[in-house]
Amino acid sequence: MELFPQALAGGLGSGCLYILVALGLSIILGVMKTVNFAHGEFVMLGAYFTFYFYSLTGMNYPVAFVLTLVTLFALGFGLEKAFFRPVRGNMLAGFILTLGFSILLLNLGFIVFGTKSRGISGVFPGMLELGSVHTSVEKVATAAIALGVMVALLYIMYRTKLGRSFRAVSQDSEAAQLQGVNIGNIHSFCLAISLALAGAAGALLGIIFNIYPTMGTRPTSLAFVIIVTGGLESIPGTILAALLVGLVESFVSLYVGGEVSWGAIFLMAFLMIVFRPRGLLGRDRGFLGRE
Amino acid sequence: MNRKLLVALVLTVVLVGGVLAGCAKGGAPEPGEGEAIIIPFGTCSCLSGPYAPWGLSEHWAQEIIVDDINEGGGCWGDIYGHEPGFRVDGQLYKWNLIAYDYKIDSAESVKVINRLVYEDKCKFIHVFVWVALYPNRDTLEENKIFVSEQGMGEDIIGPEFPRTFRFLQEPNTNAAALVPYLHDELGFNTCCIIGDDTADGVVYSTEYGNWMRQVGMQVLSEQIYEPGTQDYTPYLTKAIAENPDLIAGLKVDAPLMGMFVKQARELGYEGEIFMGAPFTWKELVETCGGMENIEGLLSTMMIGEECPLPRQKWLRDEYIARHGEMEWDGSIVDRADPIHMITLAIEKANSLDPDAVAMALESMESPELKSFYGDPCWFGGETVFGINHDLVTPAHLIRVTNGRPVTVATLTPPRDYY
Repeated sequence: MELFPQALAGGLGSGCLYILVALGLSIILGVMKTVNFAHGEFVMLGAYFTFYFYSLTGMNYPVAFVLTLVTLFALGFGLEKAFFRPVRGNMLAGFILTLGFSILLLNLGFIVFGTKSRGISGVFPGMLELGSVHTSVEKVATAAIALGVMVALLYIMYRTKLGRSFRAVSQDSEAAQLQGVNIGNIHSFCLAISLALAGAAGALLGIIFNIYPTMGTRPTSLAFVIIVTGGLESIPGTILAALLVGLVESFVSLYVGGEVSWGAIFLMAFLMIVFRPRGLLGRDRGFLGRE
Repeated sequence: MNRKLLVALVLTVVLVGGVLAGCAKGGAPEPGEGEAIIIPFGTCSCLSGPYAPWGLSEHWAQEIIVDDINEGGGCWGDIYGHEPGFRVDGQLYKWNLIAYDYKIDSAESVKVINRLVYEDKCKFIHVFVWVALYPNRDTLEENKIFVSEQGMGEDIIGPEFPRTFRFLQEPNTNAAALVPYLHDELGFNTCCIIGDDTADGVVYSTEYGNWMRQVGMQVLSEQIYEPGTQDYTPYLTKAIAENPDLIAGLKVDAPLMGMFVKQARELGYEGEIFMGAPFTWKELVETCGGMENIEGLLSTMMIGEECPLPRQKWLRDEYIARHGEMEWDGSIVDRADPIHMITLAIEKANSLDPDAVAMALESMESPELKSFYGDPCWFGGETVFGINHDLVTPAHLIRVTNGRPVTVATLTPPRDYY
C-alpha cells in the first residue's frame, strides 16, 4: 500500500464533508452575524433523522436524505422567527441563545435517542481500488454528494436573487434594507439553509461513522477552525480551508502521529490569525474586522 | 381558647409530626425472629450519558445478583447451595441495592457519594470507574466505607486505601495471559498496535507491547490517536503498510470497534485483527458494516456465547429474561462479581465491619472465591500497587465464528507475575 496517495484520498474525502459542516456555520456568521454554537447538534439531528427515516421506516436513502434537509430547513425557519429574531442585533444574546440550544439539544439527544451508537449501513456497499488507493464506495459517494450540495449552494449564492440578498446583507444589512431587502426573511432563509447544510453533513457522516448524541462536537470544532482559516464570511475561503484541514489531518496523522494532528490543525489556524487575519480568501477588514 | 384555633393547632401538630416521622431515617426496625435485616448496598453508577451502556448493564447485573442472594434461588441457592440472604453471627441479612446516577460527572459523584454515605448509611459502596472515586476518597476513607470499583485508572487501589478493591481485568494480567497464546499457539510473529491517547489507552498499549516483545513478537509500530476519533484510516493505512501478522486495536472505544474493523477492511486489509478492550456485541454488530467484516475477529474481555460455566449460563438466561437478548453480551459477566464476592467475604469474616471484610476478601481465592468470569481467580496486584486488592481472573480469547463470538481459549495469568 502506498501511503501518499492513500493519505491524499483520505484527506480530500474528509475535506469534502467538512465543507458542508463549515459552510453552514459560515453563512450564519456572514449573514446573521451570529456564531451558532449549536451547529454540531444540528449535524447530530440530521444524522439521527436520516437514520430513523432510512433504517426504521424503510425509506430509500435519497428520499430520507431529502426529507432530512427539508425537515431541518423548516426547523431553521421556525427557530429564526421564534428565537433568533427577538435577539437580532444583540451579539451576546445570540451567543447565549445558541449555547443554550447546544446544551438542550445534546441532552435531549441522550434522552430521546439513547446512548448506543447507531449507523446507516448498506447504502453504498462495496470496496473500491483506484490505482494504489483502497477506499469504499460509501466514502466516494458521500464526498460526491457533499460536492453536489456545495455546488447547489454556490448556485443559490451566486446565481439567484436570494443569494444576492444574502451577500448584500452580509456586506451591509442597513444598506440592503434600504434597497428593499426584507432582513427578517433573509435571516430566516439563512438559518434554514444553514441547518439544512448541517443536516446534510449529518446524513452523510452517519453513513461513514457512528451516530451518537455527541457526534457533532468534533466536526464543529473543525468547522470553526475552517472558517477562521478560510476567512470569515468567505464561502470560497471556507471551501478551500475545509479541503486543507482534511489534508493536514490526514497527512499529519499518517506521517507524524495521530496525537498531534489536531495540534497541527489548530496551529495552522493560529498562524493564520496572527499573520493573515483575513484568512485565505477573506476580505481585508483590519484587525478587529472593521473596514 | 377559640375552638377553631384549638382544632387548627392540633391539626398542625399532627401534620408536622407526621411529616417529621415520615422524613426520619432511622435504622431498620428490630427484626422479628427469623426475619432478615436489610442493609443497603450503594452504587454510584452511570445510568445515562455516553457511559450508560456499561453503567446500565452493570446495574442490571447487580440487580440480578442482589435478588439472587436475597431469594436464595438460581445461582446463590441452587448452584452454591446457600440459603436466602447471608448470615453474620447467626443473624440473617439481605441487601437493598441503592443506585444513583452520577452521569460520569465528578461534581455529581460527590453528591451521590455523600447521599449514599450520610443519608442511606451505606457501608458498602460500588463505584463505576475512577471518575467517581477520586473526588470522594476522603469521604470514603473517613467513614471507613468498603469500596468496590470496576474501571481503570491510577491509584485506584493501594495500601493507603485498605478497604478499596478493584474488580476488573487489568491489561497487564490480560496481556500476560493472552500474548503468549497469540504467539505460541496462533503463530503471530509481528504486530502493529493502535490505541487511544488516554491513560487507559497508554497502559493497554504499553502492557501488550511489552509482553509481545517479551515472547519474541516484533512490534512493527505503536500508534495512538486522539480520543473521540472515528476516522482510523490514517493509522490503519500506516499499520497495513507494515504488513503485520496482526493488527491490535487496543482500548478502542467500545462503540467504535465496529468502525475500526470496518475501516480496516475498506482499506483492503484481509489479515487478523485483535481487539483488546471491553465492548458490547450488539454495538459491534450494528456498526461493523457487515458481519463479513468481523468474521474471524479476535477479542478478549468477554466470554463466548456458549457461556461454559453453569453460573455464567444462569446469569445470561436471567439477564435475557429481564432485558431481552439484544441487551446481553458476554462482557456483562464480570459486572456480577463485586456484590457476589463481597457477600462471600462477609460470611467468611462473619462480620459486617468493612475492615474485617476487606481482610477476608483479600485472602480468598478459588475455589472459595468464585468469579463469574471463570476460575481460578484471586486478588493480586501487590507487585504493582503494594496491595493484593485487584481481582485476577482468567482471560478469555474469543473469535467471531459464523457470526457469533466463540471462546477459543481461557487462559490464566501467571500466578507470580502480579
